Amino acid sequence: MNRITLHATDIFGNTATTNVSYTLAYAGDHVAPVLSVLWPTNGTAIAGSNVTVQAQVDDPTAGVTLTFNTNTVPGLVERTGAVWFNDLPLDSGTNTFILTATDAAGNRSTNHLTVLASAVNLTLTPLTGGQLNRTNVTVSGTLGDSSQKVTVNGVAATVSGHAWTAANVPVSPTGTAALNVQVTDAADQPLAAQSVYQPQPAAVVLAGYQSHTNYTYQEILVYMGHIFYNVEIDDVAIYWSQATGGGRHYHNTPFDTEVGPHDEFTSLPPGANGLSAPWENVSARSFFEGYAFFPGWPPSQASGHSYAYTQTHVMIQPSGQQSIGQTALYLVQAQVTNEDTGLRLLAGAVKFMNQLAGTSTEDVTNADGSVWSQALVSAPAGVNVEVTPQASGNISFTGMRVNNVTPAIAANGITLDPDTVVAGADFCVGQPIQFDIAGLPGHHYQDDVATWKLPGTFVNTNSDPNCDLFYTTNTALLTRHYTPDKTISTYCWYVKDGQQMTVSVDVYYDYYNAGKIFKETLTGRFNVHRPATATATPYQPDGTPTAVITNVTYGVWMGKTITATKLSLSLGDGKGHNDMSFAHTLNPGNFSGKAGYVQLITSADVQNSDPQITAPLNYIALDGALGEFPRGTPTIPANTATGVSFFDGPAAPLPSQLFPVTEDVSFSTYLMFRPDPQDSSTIWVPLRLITWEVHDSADPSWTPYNYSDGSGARQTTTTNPSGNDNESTAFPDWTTTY
Amino acid sequence: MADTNLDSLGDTLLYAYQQGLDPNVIQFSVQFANTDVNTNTVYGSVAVQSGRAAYIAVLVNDTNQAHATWRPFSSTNVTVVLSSNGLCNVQIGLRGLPSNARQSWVTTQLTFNDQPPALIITNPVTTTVSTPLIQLQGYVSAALSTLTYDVSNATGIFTNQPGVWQPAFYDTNWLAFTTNTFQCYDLVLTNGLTA
Repeated sequence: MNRITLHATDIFGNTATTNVSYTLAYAGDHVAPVLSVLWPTNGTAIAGSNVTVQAQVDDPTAGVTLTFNTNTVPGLVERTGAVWFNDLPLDSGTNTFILTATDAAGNRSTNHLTVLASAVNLTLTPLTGGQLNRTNVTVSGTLGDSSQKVTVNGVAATVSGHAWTAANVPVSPTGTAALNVQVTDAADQPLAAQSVYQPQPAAVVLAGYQSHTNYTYQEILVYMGHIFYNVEIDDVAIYWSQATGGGRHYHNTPFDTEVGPHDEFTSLPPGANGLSAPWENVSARSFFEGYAFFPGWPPSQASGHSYAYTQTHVMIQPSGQQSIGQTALYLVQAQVTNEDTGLRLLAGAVKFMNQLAGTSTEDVTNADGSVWSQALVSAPAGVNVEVTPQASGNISFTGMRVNNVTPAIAANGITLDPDTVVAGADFCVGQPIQFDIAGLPGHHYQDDVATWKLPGTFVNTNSDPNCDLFYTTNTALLTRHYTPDKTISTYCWYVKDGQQMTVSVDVYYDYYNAGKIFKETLTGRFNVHRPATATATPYQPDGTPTAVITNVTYGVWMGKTITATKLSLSLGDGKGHNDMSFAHTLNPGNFSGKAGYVQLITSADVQNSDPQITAPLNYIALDGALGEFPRGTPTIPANTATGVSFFDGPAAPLPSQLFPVTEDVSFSTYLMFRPDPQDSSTIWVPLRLITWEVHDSADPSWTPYNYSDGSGARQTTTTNPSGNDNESTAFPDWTTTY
Repeated sequence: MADTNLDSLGDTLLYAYQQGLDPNVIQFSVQFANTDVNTNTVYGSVAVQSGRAAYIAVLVNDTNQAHATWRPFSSTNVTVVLSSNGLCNVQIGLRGLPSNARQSWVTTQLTFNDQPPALIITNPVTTTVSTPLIQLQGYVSAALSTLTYDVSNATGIFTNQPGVWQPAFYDTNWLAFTTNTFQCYDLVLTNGLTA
């Protein structure tokens, strides 16, 4: 059950609330989504090594996939049901694609598409920025055989040598620009085809909303009040939502330089879909005000006695190929004159503040010194959004324009891609990573709140109280991280993974005047490198390479060790003789650093049977204090397999040699790595953890062995060592001072 | 005061006298915080640019200025009582002390509507759906300033989500789009009990 409550407030301040409930149930849905392939058609010979498949599904909430060879890729499904599989690689010969649409109920439909990789050598130069959002473009490319012919969207190209150019090719000025290229031989027989579908930036368009009154007069007044729009619409379509298509534009001002002053009733051609009227070659400073007259009505009938009113609105025509369910973000700008409140518009001065709750404006200074007002507008992807400025008095807006805003996650200044790891997005365990939001137009007029969700295992010293140095859960929720300068960074030091990971973030924008307006989730992929270490541990007690601990025989000597002046029960002599030793090889990849070992005694029980001694004996390491951090720090150069080693002969000083001694000691030895630079920005991170134990005994009948001069007999017993050497992210942590 | 002193229009008093002109021509403007109101008593303010006002009058939906009831102009605040729902033509007049002083009038329009907007949902037409993403559509009987929705389902309660609307019908009596279509995009449903 889904309960939806609608809240509406009209312009008078009256409010209304209504409720509706919907039940989501799949049981009664047995109808598979209808999926059809629009391009290429079955059997098409494709020129080039890639092909973009365009399909259409009647349920835009269905998931659509394409399988070729053994690969299955998801398609981008737009709100309209348009489906895109971009730049699929072609094998030579026949290529078979299997398109599958699956709705939420699990109903499935499948289409098979077979295309041929053609030998025709054709290239098509993508449209550049200046060609986008135009109704007619010039398309060019190369052709391997100059005797062949090329048409683009039905327009014949001029072939000169191996170059071809097609002028005045009609394309949609908004959304996706589709260029369908057909190559034919000299006899006009088709040889191969190729299509390029280019998403275009969002654009500002004008739309007139027609009333539904039964007007008998043919004149329609575009009601605009006393607001003047000077919309920057050069090469951008003007749309009139008239069913008949097209329209006429009344020019009542000398500012319209293109068609001349007072050139009334300029015809606007109908659009291809019959609903719109793309208007090419509009002046960049076309003054637009007043009246529109629509086609099919003779001038004699244009002077009606009453009017059916329409209202013209400024809309954002979204960019192409936006998935349904996503959020689009736009930066809308207009130069504002005669502002009534100085540089900042009041909240009520701009209509889209009301239309899109929470949007506010700020003033920015353009490069030429002019002052513009801008607002960040969010909307469902693929939806026309109204951004009609609304003002009173003599406020006017000029040069209105819109740009897509594509925020992304940046890691240490590298802007991350949601799907692939971009160059430079490689980091190392122990290296600090600062995450930010990149691509926002500024932080002047909003408070940004980020909820970071970081994958993998990391430590974090963020302000979040849930995170401490050893915060190692797989997912950390760093909530509502404010900083005084309104940045939304977070930091972490990764300690493991060595694999591609995706960091995601929920971004909230809190505006000064209306609180949260939208939530957007950004994702970005990056690599975290972890120095490779051998999985089969080169574990070398007594200098003998061996792979596993259980095969080791320890020498337990009773004598004076190097560091213990008293008679001790020791494991080796601390000089490499029968000591416990480890050796690992690290390859830190592109990251140099240092490595070292940290050893902890996790439990120690050494008992002397002397009845005068009741307390357990402590164990000490031969070559230094336990918990030394790190123990030994050899430099590890980048991209070099470097061996590091560690040995220890821990010993238990004995107060008496007259009674038998037993020992049960457990050790944890950590292999640690710290990437450069060796300063406070980086941290030591664990790579491996070796746990090992010694269980042993000594007899008082033995002659003590003096390590310093070698006098005395070495006495050994077979120990029962056990242990493991594994990759680990556990940090050495101790509270006991030995 | 001398005959060389200037009247409210910048002419000398002598000139006004010689030409038979009222030297106290009042120029003023009227401001209301909102011209679309849901109470029949509306408060505004008068700003006098020139002249000295002694009396004020208010006419609502009455173009005959002879019907005006003149009251002493003691405050720049002005109160307008609207008679009925709809578009109201409001005239506010100021004049000087003499009963035959020249009257200055400013006309404005206020729209009074105290009826809550009617929200009609047209899509989805059935209350049981099989897609987890729906487009909630309908129309509303007034021009809106805000439209939000809340969703309560098994995944939680999501409040203050924005909806959008577009004008659909322009009422030439109200001089406004009184019917708007609206849509709440990409509303995510789930199965299970309501949170």
